[in-house]
Amino acid sequence: MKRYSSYCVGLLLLVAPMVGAAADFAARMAAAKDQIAKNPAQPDGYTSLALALVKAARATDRTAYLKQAEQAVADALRAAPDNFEAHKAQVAVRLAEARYAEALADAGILNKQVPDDNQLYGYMADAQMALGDYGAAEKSVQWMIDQRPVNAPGLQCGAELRDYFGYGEPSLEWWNSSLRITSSSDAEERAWILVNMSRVELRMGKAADAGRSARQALDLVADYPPASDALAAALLGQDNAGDQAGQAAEVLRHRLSAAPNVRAEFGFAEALEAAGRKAEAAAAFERFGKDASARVSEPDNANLELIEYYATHGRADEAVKLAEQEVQRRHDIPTLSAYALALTAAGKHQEARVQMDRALEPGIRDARLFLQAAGIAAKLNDKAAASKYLRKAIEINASSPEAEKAIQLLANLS
Amino acid sequence: MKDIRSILATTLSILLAMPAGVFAASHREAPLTALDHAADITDFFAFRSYDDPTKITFILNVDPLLEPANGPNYFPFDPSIVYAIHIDNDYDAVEEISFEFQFTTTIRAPGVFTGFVGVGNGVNAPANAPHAPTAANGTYTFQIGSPILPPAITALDGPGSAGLSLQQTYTVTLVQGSGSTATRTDLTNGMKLVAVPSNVGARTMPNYPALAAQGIFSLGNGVTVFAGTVDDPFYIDLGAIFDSLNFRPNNFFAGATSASGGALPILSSTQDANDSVNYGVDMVSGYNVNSIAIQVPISMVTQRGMPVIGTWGTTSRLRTTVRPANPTAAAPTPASYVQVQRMGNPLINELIIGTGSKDTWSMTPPSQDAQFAPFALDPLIARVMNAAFGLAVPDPPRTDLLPLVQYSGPFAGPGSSAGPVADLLRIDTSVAPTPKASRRRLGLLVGDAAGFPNGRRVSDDVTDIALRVVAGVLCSASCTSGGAPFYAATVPLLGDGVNTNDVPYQETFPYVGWAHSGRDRRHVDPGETGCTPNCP
Repeated sequence: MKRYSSYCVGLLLLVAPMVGAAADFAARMAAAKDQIAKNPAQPDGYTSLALALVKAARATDRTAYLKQAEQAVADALRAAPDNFEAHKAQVAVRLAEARYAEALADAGILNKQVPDDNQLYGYMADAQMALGDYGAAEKSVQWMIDQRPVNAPGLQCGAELRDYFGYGEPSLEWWNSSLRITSSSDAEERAWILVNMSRVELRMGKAADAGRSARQALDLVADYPPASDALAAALLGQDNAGDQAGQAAEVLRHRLSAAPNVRAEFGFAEALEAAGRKAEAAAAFERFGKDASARVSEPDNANLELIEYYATHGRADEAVKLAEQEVQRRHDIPTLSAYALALTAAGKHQEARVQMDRALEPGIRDARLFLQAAGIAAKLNDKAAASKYLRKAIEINASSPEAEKAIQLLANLS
Repeated sequence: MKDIRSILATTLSILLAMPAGVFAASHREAPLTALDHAADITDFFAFRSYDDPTKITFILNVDPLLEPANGPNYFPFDPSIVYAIHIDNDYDAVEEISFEFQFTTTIRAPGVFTGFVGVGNGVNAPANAPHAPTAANGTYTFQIGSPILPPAITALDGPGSAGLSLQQTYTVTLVQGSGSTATRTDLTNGMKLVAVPSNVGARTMPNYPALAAQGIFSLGNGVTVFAGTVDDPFYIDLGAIFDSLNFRPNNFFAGATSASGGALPILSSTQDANDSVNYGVDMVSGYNVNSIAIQVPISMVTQRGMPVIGTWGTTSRLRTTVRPANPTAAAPTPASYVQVQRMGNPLINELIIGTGSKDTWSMTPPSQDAQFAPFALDPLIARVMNAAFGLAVPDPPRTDLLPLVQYSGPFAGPGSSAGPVADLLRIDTSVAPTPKASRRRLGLLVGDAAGFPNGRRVSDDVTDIALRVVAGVLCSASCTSGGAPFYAATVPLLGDGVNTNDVPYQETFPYVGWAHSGRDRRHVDPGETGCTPNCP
């Protein structure tokens, strides 16, 4: 399970009032600034700029854009305090900054004002997913689909949920549908969709397909950071991991030089470790730990990865402390599984099981999560449960690296 | 007429309240039903049957502004839609009885070039017909003497129906109760119910009224149904309304020109009293609509001692769900459908509900209408009329409008509560139908007790009635305007100048006029004022 989950936030910007037909965020920003120069007293230009900046943050992994987006929203609201689109843009910025509870509260107020606004349901679903309320997210997304049966944001949010609910193929079907109705001129958007397809394919145990989708995304947008991350993950998910892990490490080394990002540092260290380059991996992990701990309080942090780092590097107490801090903010599957990992490292297996059960409750089918759940069950000497989870991990793809581990563990159990 | 009225509301609000940029945006963000015309309910009617007062007739019209000449397939009902008529008979705004209609399309002659074709007794390939190569399997039909054109269509099924290539049949289901506990009864009784096609023209359908009348089916137990394309019974000066309320003062208005340059749409008392002359232009003239009508015994839909019912129509489609449907599941359940549109009273969604809530309103059951009550208590259209024409209108909260959305006033049941705020077309079934000679287009407003808003007949002029109701004609002594006392009697004779339909209605089921001929269809043009029934 990839720790960082972006839900469908940002995808919804596709239907936001962009300026002209500009396809990339730089052009969008330029057009928005032009609009501001022409009508500085109107909120529209600032709103467009804020949305372009959020999209830029996604495309480049540079969270500094989000600070600028905040300012653009503030400018829009200064120009027109009651402007609906400006308030919506504020929700988008807050989602991008992972301020989910605030975003959900604000989106709820706006939804009461204009219940027909389809996009707002997507924003609400984003926040609800992050807060672990998958039932509410399902209602929001279902309403999006009911209201507009063929709309890209609705399909994308629905695809995201289908993935979490364990419906791999149906998830891919909706990602594919959204790809078909996304303009061919919007390369970044299409690349983003392909990245998400890659993620689902990997979870389904189709690592080769996942790699192909990630490469297609990179063909569309060279050095696209999310696509590089997805490609690395796909390479690590293939069965001849030794060779592939080295390639993954190189993909991420290149990615980090093009777009530095602390979460990607963790992936890089993992890839090095998988490639057997232990000294380099240790150095990379250490650098990650230093960088990530410096960003713990930032909205856009690498706390889930840091929890995993702590938990797997003999710092269980720090892992638990950080996880407890993180679950105050969000309760989604990645957060709960990270919390469970920390608790396991701290020897709190019963508590770990509670959190793991919560993580699996939506129905997600993820071999890594099943292995984790099996490990917890084994620690509690619940062989039946451990066996059940291991079999589930194998069912997804019997030839995956996770399945190989599961087969081995299953043999040990019996 | 959903489209017309919704654009009216949008246009008015935009003109007065929104910057120009939003105008374009609102067109891009068209309401759901504007994108789904087959599910778009144009009008909903409910009235005691003129020719059989023991019965009540419900008519659900869908798919607006059908151009009669628009072949080759014309306007079949959408087989993927469930069309439904609901009845609440215990004042809780939840249906106790529903009638559901679902259609099936069959292409009976795939080789024919159009959905409907036929000439005289049929035409065979003549002696000089192009020679076709002989097919190895002997299936070529274009041989000399083989039938090319079927006989003219004189029947919906069986002999005389060979040219009806696109044939639609339908089922009628009685649903008692609501939700998962409802019971469902097929009323079709094994009958083949055929929907009446569009009127292609006299060569193809030489006696269309006779053909259309074959679409009236008695199902037993006093239930009669009809489904098919008919004349759109609604009438309105659409063009004037779309042109930023540019009515035709030289033709008919008694109103003075306002400061904004528009004329207050007021009829003279003589004009207002004439229900058979149009002073404006009926822009719906010559257009068809798809109609579903059902007539049932009043006793079938009322409870003893509770003659008032609330009724509404809906269209629903199978929904695509986040959780994929179980492929092994049985037939779709009610939860498998999503409501696309509903209508009780005319003009509620169009003139009362805010633009940002229209889709939500359409998709919500009436029992949850309390969330929309603020719109009814301070309707935007009243403010628009005030701003556009300087017309004094009552101050909010507009409690005078509550009888339209509650069981109160003339619709109060004996000893019952008013029930929740809900847009239902309410009708007191104990009120006898008004004979034709006494029937008035302004219904209850002018003492015709069987007219809108006591139910709605096809001839009721809901445009003029709604304008006056919104302007405060239902006000009691407690109404104020700008803080000063407001009197209903001061409401002028507002109207669009279109007082009647372009073709006569029928006095028997299904009461609407038959469909216009595609070949000979005619729409009244601007300048052709006074085009009363039976236009040349």
